[in-house]
Amino acid sequence: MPYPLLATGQDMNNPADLDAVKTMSRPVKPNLHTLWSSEDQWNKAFAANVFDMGLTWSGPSVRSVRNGGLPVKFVVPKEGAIGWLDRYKVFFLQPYMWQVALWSFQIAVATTLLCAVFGFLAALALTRSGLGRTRAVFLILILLPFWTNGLIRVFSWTMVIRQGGFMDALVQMVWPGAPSLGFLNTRSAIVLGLVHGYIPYMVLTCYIALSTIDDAIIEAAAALWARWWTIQGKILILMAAPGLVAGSVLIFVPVVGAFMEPRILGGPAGVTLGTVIEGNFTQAFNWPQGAAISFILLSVVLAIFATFSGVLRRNAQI
Amino acid sequence: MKKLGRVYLCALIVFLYLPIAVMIAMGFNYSPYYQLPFRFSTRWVDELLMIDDLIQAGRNSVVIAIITTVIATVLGTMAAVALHRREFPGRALLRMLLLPPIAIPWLITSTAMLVMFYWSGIGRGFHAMLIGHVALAIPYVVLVAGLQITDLEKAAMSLGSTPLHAFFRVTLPMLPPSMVGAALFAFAVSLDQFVISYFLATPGYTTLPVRIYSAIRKDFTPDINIISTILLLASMALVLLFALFSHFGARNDRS
Repeated sequence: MPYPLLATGQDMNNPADLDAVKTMSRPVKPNLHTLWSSEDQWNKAFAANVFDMGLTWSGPSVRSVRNGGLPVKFVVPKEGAIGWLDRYKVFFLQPYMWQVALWSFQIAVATTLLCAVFGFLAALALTRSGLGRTRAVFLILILLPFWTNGLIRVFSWTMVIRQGGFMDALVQMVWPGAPSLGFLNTRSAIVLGLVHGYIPYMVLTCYIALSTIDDAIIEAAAALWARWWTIQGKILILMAAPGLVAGSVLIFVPVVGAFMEPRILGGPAGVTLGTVIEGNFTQAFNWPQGAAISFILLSVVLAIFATFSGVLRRNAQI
Repeated sequence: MKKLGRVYLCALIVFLYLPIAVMIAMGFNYSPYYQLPFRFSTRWVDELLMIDDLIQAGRNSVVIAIITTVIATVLGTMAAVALHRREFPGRALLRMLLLPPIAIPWLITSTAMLVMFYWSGIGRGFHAMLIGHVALAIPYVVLVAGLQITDLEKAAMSLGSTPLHAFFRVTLPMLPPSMVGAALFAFAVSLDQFVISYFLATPGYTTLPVRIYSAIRKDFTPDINIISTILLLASMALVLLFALFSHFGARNDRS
């Protein structure tokens, strides 16, 4: 499909341009013998002279020559060709891809911020509520879902937030005839699912940072008439900062490449870099394009790790 | 303030577990369209047992998890011993290289594996998934097994033991407890692994999470809830077992 689009100079992102492709492709359709689905099929058909000319991947073609002795050659058409570097160009030249990247970024930032606020508060409550022995129980309860299947946890939210789901049923019980609050298939649903999945990270990193704070510092501050918010703001948050940064990095990185949460909770609204990569691999079978976007995402991830490596290393040593 | 903290923690736990509880309950709801009000029924348990490919996918998951556990635990423990006992050039680099497979999004890792396996002729299917799971589980095993390796070998040697004797009589007997913990961890990682399996699965050979995902994407009835519940409880049991085994939290408890 992309080839006739490019050949006729159409816009790949405009559905209206598909008609031009149809009128152009239909006359040449009888020339098309087969759409191969495996390397073996291609080799056998080519060896049996089923078709005169065909396209195949670069890896299988090398094997066709080496193992089968088939006359396969690497040819660049005189009209030009799309090389692997062009796949990167596609990403940077398409406004649509920038929009998708922006959505992914917004979702990741919102998720990270919500996790930071609520995760920090949870870590604070864990360390400063005088829980004693029950603290370990609370910590295990918070961390336990993290080690269960993420897919199932995302799936379970669909039953809570869909229209007529558990949340609606609960509201109707209190207020019969209430309008539906269901928000499945929105970007808020994606953020909710992601916060649910990743908040244990933030609780853990903040908890580790906060539990190293000596109680004597707080007592000293209180003895010196430090106000309550000075203690909270200046001492606790500053001292928990390494935990907050480490947790944020550990959450932002997987979330910016998430694909199953947007797919399941976002529905049509759930287009992110992750789903575009997944789609290129599993539906469009445009592996080079998927790999290119995947590699761009990887470079972003590595850049984030490089920037925060100092904080992460210090945190790992505690 | 202290009371507020406890209320907040309880609210967080409700937030974490509520959807899971709803998911489990809906598996016992009569309506195939997840309609409320709730009507108790066990029809979906019976129907689940009739869906052969779901059962088969579950069996595949367990088989892959067991083989992954054996390979990853052996290789990972050996690596952990080497990393902890010996000074050799590049040790710090090797130790650092363990972290990216854990930290890089699985989507990137698995698409890279798919391209690499396809290009090198390994292809997709059971063996490809197994390689992927082992590669993912090894870093976890090295980290978990490495937690409990202490350097008593030098002490033994300073008391006149030969290196070989010290290894077999001191280091080796200390390994099994940490290996059991690491093995539980590897099993849980493999059993729950979805993304890598998803990209490396073939239509004929899938694992349970992949099968569940394709059901969620297309059409599903509450039998998916039942099988999800089983998978969820299995991984929770594994993690709790691991927590008991490694005395999780005990060392941090200062109060």
